[in-house]
Amino acid sequence: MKPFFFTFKSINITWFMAIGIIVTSISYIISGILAKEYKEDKNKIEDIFMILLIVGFIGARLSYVLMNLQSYKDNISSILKISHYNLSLLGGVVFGLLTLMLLSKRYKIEFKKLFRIFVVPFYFSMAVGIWVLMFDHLLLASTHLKEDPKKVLYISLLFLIGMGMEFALSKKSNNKYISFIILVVVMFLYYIV
Amino acid sequence: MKGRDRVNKKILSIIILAVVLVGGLYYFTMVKGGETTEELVPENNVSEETNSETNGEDITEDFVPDISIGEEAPNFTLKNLDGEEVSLTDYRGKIVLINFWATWCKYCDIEMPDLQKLDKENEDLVVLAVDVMEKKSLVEEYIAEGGYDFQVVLDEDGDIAKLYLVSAFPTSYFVDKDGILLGGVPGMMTYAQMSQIVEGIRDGE
Repeated sequence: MKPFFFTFKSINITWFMAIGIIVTSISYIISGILAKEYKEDKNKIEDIFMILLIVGFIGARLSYVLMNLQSYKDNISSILKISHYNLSLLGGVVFGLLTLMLLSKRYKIEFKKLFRIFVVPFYFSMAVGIWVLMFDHLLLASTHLKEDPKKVLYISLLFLIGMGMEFALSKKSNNKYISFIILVVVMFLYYIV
Repeated sequence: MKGRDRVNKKILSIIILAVVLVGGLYYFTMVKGGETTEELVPENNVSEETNSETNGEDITEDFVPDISIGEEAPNFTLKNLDGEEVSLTDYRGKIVLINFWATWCKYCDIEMPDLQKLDKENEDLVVLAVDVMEKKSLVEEYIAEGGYDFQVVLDEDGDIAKLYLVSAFPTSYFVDKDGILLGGVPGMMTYAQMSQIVEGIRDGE
């Protein structure tokens, strides 16, 4: 495996960037498809997707910094130097959910509906995107999966199953919290695997 | 009804696409990747051929060894500022941060004090700063001015930078205690970033 996805003159495209762009693009298309299924304005959903993407990154970074304050206390400006090695998935998810709540009021779309639209691209991104750890061992070393790289496969399957369950149960179940319960269980299993 | 079928087909397509991508990535990284590693790594886990042929002075246009994550980092031997030969393999048993830099590079200059701090504060880590294609006198002056005392070697022809796919300065690589190349980071890193990566490498051992 090459250290970088693409290198030419002064251009370096890391594996994280390459896989991230592919996964984000597909997720964007998926959210558009789901907007139609839930009879929502596709443009609005795509706008929300972009906002969630940005807020998710900021949230992931802020959470990481808060969890590792001792590393930044002597050099506050380095907080702004974002790298994919220094992000927190949980922080990104929590900030994303909080933003979704606010956006549901602003765009006057039921939170439950928005949640169901965006949780599917999230599962998809994680199921595919987690494989970047196999391309970038430094990134793998910064996660809890470092002791056994084979766990990347289990995590990927976990998010695939999460996506399958979301499709299978969210509309059929009478429980309005079912999508949220599935996400909590998947995230819990992600951290204990 | 037709609309519903179309939506269901789209959902099915999403699931199939996800399964195909995950299956493909699994095959590419774990099945095929595993086979390649077994074929390339000799029984004693030390590639003598690679070690001798990747010596800084020995690289020719006909033989350019591959640099691969998860495999042994290509060895090189370069002269330091005292004129002594230094090889990457000299640091087996320590985590090595190979930093490709140049005196004219602004971000290398910003990064240097952090490299010094990292080298000083971690006994199990060595910073190996590879200056690329500059005169020894210029590098000596720069290092003396900064008061840096980590290992600096000179890649006068740029062969090692080429081997390690360096396209911008600074670029850093991390090699574990067994000489396995863990990954590269293009661009400047802060001390916090460096130490988090080193911590991760340490925990993974």
